[in-house]
Amino acid sequence: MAIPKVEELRVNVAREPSLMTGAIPKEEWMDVPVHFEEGNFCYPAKPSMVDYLKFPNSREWSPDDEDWKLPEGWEEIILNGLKERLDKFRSLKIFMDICVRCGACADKCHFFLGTGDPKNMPVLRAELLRSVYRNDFTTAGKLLGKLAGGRTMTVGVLKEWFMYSYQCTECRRCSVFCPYGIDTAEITMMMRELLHLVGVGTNWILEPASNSNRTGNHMGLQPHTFKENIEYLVDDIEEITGIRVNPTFNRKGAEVLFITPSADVFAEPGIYTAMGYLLLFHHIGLDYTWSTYASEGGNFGLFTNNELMKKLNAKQYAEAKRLGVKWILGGECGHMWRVLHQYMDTMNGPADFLEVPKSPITGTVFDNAASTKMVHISEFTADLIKNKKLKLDPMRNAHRKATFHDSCNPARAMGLIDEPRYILDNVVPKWYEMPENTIREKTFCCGSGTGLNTGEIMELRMRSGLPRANAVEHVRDKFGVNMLSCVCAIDRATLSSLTEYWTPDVEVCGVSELVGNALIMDGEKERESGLRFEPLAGMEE
Amino acid sequence: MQLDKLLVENREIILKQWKDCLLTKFAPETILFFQKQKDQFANPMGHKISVGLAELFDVICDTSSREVETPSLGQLIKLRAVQQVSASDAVSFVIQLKKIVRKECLSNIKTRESYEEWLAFDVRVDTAVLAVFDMFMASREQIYKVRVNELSSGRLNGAVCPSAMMKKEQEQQAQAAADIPALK
Ligand code: SF4
Ligand code: SF4
Repeated sequence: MAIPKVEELRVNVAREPSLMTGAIPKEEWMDVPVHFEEGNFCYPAKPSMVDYLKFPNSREWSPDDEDWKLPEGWEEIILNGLKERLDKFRSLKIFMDICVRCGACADKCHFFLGTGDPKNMPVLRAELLRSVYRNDFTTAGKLLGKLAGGRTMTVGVLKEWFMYSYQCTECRRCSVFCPYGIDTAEITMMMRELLHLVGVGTNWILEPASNSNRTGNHMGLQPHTFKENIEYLVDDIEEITGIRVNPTFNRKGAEVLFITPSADVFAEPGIYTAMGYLLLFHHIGLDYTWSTYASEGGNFGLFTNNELMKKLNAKQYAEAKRLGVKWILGGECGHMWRVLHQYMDTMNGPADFLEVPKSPITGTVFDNAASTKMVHISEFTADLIKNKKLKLDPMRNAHRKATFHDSCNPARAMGLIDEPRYILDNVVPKWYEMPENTIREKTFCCGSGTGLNTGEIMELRMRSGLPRANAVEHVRDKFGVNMLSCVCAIDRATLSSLTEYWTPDVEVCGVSELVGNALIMDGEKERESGLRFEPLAGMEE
Repeated sequence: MQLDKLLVENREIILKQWKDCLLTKFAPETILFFQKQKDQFANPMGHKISVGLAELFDVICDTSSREVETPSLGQLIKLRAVQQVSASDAVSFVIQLKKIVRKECLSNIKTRESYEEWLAFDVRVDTAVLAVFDMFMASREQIYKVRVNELSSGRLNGAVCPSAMMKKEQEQQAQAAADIPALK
């Protein structure tokens, strides 16, 4: 192939729609059509998944097809769906009306920062829906149409919704900066819900959701496999510590039901976090049980529609009721806590058949969970440490130089910010914070949440994760950080890929893994390796 | 005046124009933001472009340096490698440097007198393009590896627990070993 001349390249640069989204810039945003090509969209849901969930319009289709095979009268379906939701969710109506376009949110989204695409500015993302709302639901819009910022619902608009509601991880960072507290995540949720009404959804979300519905977890694993996997972890723990822990499954009458994302049971590096839980519960002699039915903390219903979210959440509580436990302890998950903190109570709560959680070890009553009856493992662990109930040797993590990534949902949707930090203070010799504008409530998303953690959009994920990776790179270069800790299973998976690309020498772990390493178990053998079978400091060959 | 001196003198203006040519593809509001926001954590892409270009520029100007790859340039190329642009497009910015430098420096220098200097400069830019192209391809390969590793780790589809797989393998091997005498 002939090497192109510089001059040609320049022309190429100006003419080619080669930004991720294919948008050719320098036109009014409303006039720039979206362009789908392999790599910039998540694969559509398989018809079998759509049928299983009883969602409408199952068919073979692809976003890069011209014809999306939408159902007859789809515009009406969407507009009616929007009307129904405007009536049902007051927040949506308010978010549609009160934005003053001040732009404070514009540059706060990791998708904008990583792609440079203006439609990834939260204000414009919301405008995609708001323009239709204006057109059909406000007097000014009805009279003035485009002049009042209104747009009729067309296939082009629908395609735009699909593109940009799946370039938002519903992380809520933008809402932190909005003077009116407008939560663009909720607007994205609505756009995704509306798209499902006409059969536009992605497989990466619908398959785990239907698996959860069927077998209780994202992977579709059956009870015996779930149990077997935990037993393998028990074997590993014995090899490393000399202690045999004895978890129970589906045990009626246990005091506590423990629920964590299934990725902690099946996949690296989550399994090391699970080993941490197992050690901790053994260490304090907790009367608890796993469930092979409520075997998933995550809830992909949240990324689908509110009915499915409600149903999957209800399964956890049904299992707690069946087993007759007093309260639920939840593992390191992200969006599970958003569902719990923001929606559970009005959806399925209050869980009156359970007791207000009280730590059997310290006697601490978790009043913050008085209605949902579910406590976060970090709250629980921090309380144990504070009451000096754990024997810890932080030097067992001396081979780790850790930093902490606040996962969006625990940090912004439930305010769990200091507990994991307090745990880190006690289980590692020293750890390092990333820069102030990238942590706590201003934390940057991993870039792949809300069901965007799929391989076909890997390049996009590497860009949306850039703001996070950039901060990790900074602490790696400045302090020699080699471990990125977090309290979210999706993070553990997606940050592993993100760091593998941007900062290859940084690994990812759950905070409970570091707890497990540090725990001094009664009767243990001399520890030579950590939970990954990696040699401890001073124990290298 | 000699070219190397002019390059040092005009470093800032050259770098600015060079950055601009990497930004042309973005929408006006994006360009404005990338140029304005100086906090590297609030503007990681703008930052990566600036420091990556600066390192590459210094390498090209420093006639004693052999190695083109530097850490920040590496990160800039990684960025290019995930922007879904063609390979030629991704590395073409290096060639643009020739044009910018000619524009900024040519009026102050007699081409004929400094003919050899210009030639040498061009050769260094050409070398850099090739090196950057290699870096780009390495980053692309890395992306494929990340994809494969993600699948095989079971992180996302969770098909198998690595521990379980190891145990099964060991069991199968033990079984196979036990089976051998039985066959005899
Ligand atoms: S919720 Fe997060 S991903 Fe979505 S627009 Fe806001 S900052 Fe961006
Ligand atoms: S910060 Fe809030 S009010 Fe301002 S543009 Fe963004 S969403 Fe609208």
